[in-house]
Amino acid sequence: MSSPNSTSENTQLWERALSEFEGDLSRANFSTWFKNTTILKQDDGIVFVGVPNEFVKDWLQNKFHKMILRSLRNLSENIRGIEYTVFRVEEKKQEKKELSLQNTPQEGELPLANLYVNREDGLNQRYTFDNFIIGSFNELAYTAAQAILKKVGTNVYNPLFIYGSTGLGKTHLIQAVGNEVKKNHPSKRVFYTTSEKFSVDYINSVSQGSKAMVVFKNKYRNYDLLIMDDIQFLSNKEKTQEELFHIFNELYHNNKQIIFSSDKHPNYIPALESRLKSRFSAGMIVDVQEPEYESRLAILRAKAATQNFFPPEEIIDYLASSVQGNIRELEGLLNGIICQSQIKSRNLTLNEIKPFIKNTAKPKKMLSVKDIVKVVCDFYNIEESFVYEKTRRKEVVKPRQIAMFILREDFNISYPTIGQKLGGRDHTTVMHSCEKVKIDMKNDLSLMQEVDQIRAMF
Amino acid sequence: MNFTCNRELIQKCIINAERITGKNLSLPILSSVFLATNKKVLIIRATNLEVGVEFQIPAEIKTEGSVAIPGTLFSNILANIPDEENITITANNGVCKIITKTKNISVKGFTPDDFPTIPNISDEESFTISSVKFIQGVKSVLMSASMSDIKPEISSVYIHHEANNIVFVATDSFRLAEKKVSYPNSKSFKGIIIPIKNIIEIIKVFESSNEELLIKITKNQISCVGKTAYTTSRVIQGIYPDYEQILPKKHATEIVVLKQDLLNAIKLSTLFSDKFNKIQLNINPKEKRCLISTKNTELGETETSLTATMTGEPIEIALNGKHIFDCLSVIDRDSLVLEFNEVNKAVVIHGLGDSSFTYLTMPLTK
Repeated sequence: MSSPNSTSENTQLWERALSEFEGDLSRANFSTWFKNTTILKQDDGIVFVGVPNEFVKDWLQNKFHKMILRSLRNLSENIRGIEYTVFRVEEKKQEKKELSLQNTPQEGELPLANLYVNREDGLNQRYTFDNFIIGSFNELAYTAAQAILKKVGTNVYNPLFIYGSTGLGKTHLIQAVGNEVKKNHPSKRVFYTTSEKFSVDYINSVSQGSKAMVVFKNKYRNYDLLIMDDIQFLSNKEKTQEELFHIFNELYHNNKQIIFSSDKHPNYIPALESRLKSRFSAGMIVDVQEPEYESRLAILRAKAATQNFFPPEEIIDYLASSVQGNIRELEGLLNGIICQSQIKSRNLTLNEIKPFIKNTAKPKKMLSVKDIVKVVCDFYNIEESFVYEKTRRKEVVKPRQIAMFILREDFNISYPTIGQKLGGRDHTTVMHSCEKVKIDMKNDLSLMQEVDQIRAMF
Repeated sequence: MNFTCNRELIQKCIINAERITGKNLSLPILSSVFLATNKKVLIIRATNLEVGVEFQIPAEIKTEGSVAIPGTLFSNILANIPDEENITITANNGVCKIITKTKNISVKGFTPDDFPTIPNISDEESFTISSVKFIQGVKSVLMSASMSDIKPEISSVYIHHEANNIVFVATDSFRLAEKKVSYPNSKSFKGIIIPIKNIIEIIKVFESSNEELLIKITKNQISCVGKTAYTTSRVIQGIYPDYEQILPKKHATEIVVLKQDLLNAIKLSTLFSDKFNKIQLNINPKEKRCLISTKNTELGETETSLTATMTGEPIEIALNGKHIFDCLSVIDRDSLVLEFNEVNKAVVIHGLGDSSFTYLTMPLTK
């Protein structure tokens, strides 16, 4: 995939060329032969034109080649030649209403949907780097993944630990690594699993006795690349963690590549054994953040194009600027809009889309003081009511102070309000508490970690 | 251009070519068929930019040239001169003349230079198969493909290679048909997904012939090359679902029935079935009971008792009668095997002692 800059240059170049052709050709001719064509890339003076099928390729080559070359040369001097390649994004038409009515009510469906997943290695073949969009939000993770591809196992990024909140493309990225390794080195054994499947597998083999256990142990020790998704679900599963620990050591010492993903930094995954934490941290830990405006724009364009939907630029722009947050939601919203415009069989206007976003976009999470106190109390395992009472027992004082601190620092609630909400305390008490937690945190590393863990729960 | 050729021969080609001509496309020339002469042969081409077809037939050529004329009109003209043995066609300044012993017809043509070329693909991957076997394979599974455009991967026929077989598959996600055509020593090739509409056109072209076809495959295109005809179609660049996973490996209940019995029973039952063609099967091997029944609140109800050999657990299951009906015509055995698992699991149908064709249909839920 080329950088966004040259892509937009190519688009501009092609658009200018197309407007010339449009003048020279009849409308029917133009729309038949130049619909869905694009410049894929330019390489050393050769322009690669993507066309939808072999018929168009043949025709452009035989009939319009001179014309295309001439006008491209006029627009850009250093173009020497043109290559045509068939580049087709399969059309996906949205389900028509009456059709879904016909089929759904009675008929059971063959379970085909999950068959895109390879039985042997658990990888979904649809996740590839070809359809992976890179922006500054995931650049680091992408670079690390690319480094792994160059030297599987024997690189400094072993294990690679990717974390970030849900719907940001972690699974896509790590599966794409698996698929790419498979493609480049067919002999390498790749395996993708989720921590959930791993623990089910483990529990099954425990219950089936020692023979099954040996099979289990050998199975995981055999892979050249082990990818484990959603590692955060291992928390509280002590024995599974221990097993993973042994497998990890074995693979790591034999220079086998391991990739993990999680929605939290390993240090903040609750109830995770410290020896696992330290091992996760031994390689490379990268985070995937929420995509920024430009990336959202690129993602929306690409997703729309795969559905053969080309909405006006202002709509894409509006979506990208008004909907923040994760990619999955962005995709859902776009699908909704595509569906709407197919029902109406025209492009929606900006005004029609606005209420749509209001309805679908995730409202900002509302947290009350009570919720926060509850989280803190749960964390320290004390009863909520103690916090509001006038007790100075040590095990209550600390959570109360931390709750005040978080309310002040993270939610910007005024000192008097905090005091009033937490059992009618004076605002100076609150000020003192916040000050104290702040200073203690600097000296006490474990306190800092505790506060970070609590914060991660919101 | 001026040539004379056999009327019947050209008519056969034009009928096939005309079907492919684009009817609702913005480019009017696509609704025409293209005729060109080349030494001793006449070349006929048609395309809708999805499928392309080219025929070569012998002709007596006086002057070389080419013309494109409206396909439907040409086909209808030929249909209405059934008595003529030979016809002579001339083209001059875009006007095409069809001359027979007794008739003289002029048709306005298109500029032949604007007629698209039919892509000729490289044979990086190819295999040969007899046209009869190829058509049999496709026809055996055709009815199971999805006719809607929602999921292009499954509104198609999937052809792949396996050991000594060429395997044809189609599914609309409610039923699935798989046909294995034995082809020892054939070259292995990557699986290809051909849009259902295109493969129908392709097999029609070769339907009346019995010859060896050379099938050429690239990433984007498939071509079938016969002695006198050449067809090409785009293929779908997607991944076909790994359907082999859902073929049941065992079964709880098995019945063997005569095909004709089942066919009659289903024909009768569907008279009373609802719009989902629901028919009810009640099988109990211990009590030697195999009943097919349908109920319709407006019309009435039927119940047929089938003579069948049964083993396994008793089962009551609702199936889509049309789905069963569809597969009966492609099974060339007198007896059928129906295998059941649970009431919500797929039912397998195949000919007795025939492993080349497997048919899966999902039960209807109540």
